Amino acid sequence: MPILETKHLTKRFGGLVAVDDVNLKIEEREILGIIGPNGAGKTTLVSLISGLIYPTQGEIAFNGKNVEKLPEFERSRMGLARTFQLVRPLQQFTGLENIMVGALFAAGESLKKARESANEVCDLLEFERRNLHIDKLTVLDLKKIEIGRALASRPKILFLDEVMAGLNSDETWQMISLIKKLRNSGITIVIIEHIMGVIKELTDRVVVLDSGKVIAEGVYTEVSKDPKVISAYLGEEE
Amino acid sequence: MKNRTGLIIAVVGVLSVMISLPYYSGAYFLSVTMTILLNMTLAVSWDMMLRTGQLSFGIAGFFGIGSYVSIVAVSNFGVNNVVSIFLAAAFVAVIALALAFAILKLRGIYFAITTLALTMVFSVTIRNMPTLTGGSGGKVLYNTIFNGDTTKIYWLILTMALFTILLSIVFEKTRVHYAISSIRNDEVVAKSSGINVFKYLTVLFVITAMIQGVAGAIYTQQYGFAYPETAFSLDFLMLPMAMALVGGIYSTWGSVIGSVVLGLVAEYLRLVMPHGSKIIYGIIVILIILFLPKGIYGTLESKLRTTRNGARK
Repeated sequence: MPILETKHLTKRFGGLVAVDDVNLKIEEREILGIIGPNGAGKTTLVSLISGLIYPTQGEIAFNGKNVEKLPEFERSRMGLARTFQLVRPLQQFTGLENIMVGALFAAGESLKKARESANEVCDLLEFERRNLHIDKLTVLDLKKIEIGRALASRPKILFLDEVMAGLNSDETWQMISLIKKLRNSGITIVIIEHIMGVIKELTDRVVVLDSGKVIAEGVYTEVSKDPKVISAYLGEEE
Repeated sequence: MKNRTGLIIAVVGVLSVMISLPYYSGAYFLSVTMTILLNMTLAVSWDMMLRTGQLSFGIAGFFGIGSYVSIVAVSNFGVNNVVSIFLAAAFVAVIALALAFAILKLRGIYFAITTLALTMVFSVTIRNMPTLTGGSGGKVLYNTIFNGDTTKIYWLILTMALFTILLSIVFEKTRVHYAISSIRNDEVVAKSSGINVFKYLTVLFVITAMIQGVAGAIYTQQYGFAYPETAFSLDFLMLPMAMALVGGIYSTWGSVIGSVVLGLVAEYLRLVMPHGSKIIYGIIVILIILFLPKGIYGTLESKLRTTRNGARK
């Protein structure tokens, strides 16, 4: 049984069909890449699955249970976690406290336990300046907060929405090895990414979206040769 | 360890002074203290809701309902004075809970304006129920609480203020703090981190409304009357808000300090210039908000933090 499955998932904003009849099957412990040109509907798809917005049509099954009508906080407590493309730190808190929030509410831990978990997550992320207020942190630190908050919620499946954007190549490699570590710890990972090197390095399988539709699916090396994909997306790079 | 002992001594000291106040203070000073404690209760409760990011102008509305429930219960239905205060709390809680479902989907200025409008609705409703509430003529209470014993009334008000402060501190020290601060900072992140936003907003809204209702009930029991103009007076909205802002929002101690400072200032101004004292009061509030935007407590706290950090280096 796939850990997450969407059936005919569709989201319309007025006349625009942002996500159009998407059928996805995500297997446990795989790393799935979602690629596609700007405006293809990748972030909308993640927002539908995480519950930030509700679908116009279609179903989302998580561990065999339909969740498309559940509010976002309940889905996050079930183990669905996401990061945001533009980092969204909580202004009031330190880095550590930001991460604690995920442990406290999504994972339902006590204050003391949540502080321990958040520290463990910080260790894993090699996030040293965790006790500083977020206005004193760097972009990489804020990215770590974004991932840390999701990790502290003890997810079964983690959606990473362009976490590499804005990182230099050293930092990108750090992030890649981190994501591999996470997969080995048993978390299913879905990454949305524009950097093809990252997709090639990390993913077991990719799904290509264009204008809200899935136009190709498979391992990266094959999909990247698909003429439909090349014309929609990779063609621009050649 | 040393710090904790110091804190306990300070708390016990302040508490014993406050509890024994009626035995050595004059009637005038006691009455000023009661007014300050009443406004302190309202200021802290308003700030508690503000910490969720929702600006409520509903203080005067719940205060007024509490006033009327208490006075009607005693004079029309012969309920015991003390019991009537609990009745007011329960009544306000039911109304706030029903309202929560209707208005807690609103955010920002829309929520604020709606709560202000509700205050007017409550006031008009009370005015138009003359058989029960005395209408715009108001209502006078003949058998006052504790037979008008000021010492006991003072203790009642002190209990209310202490309870509110304690509850506010509990909310600051527990997971509630993380939930409502997250909601205030970024509701999208709060939801995706598993926070039941509506639940926390509702709980805070109902609890703070109850506190404001109880304050209204006790005020009415203390003075023995309720008129629509006084019970729903916007003074019960503006003064506590000014106190929280001057003291420093998003903290218990900010509101406490603000209500003591502004309470004393207001009283002094009223003595030296009975007319126009509110103009000076208003100017003081504006100046503090302009030059100490974090309020007295907020500014002291961040000064303290920088010196402490400096010392570490």
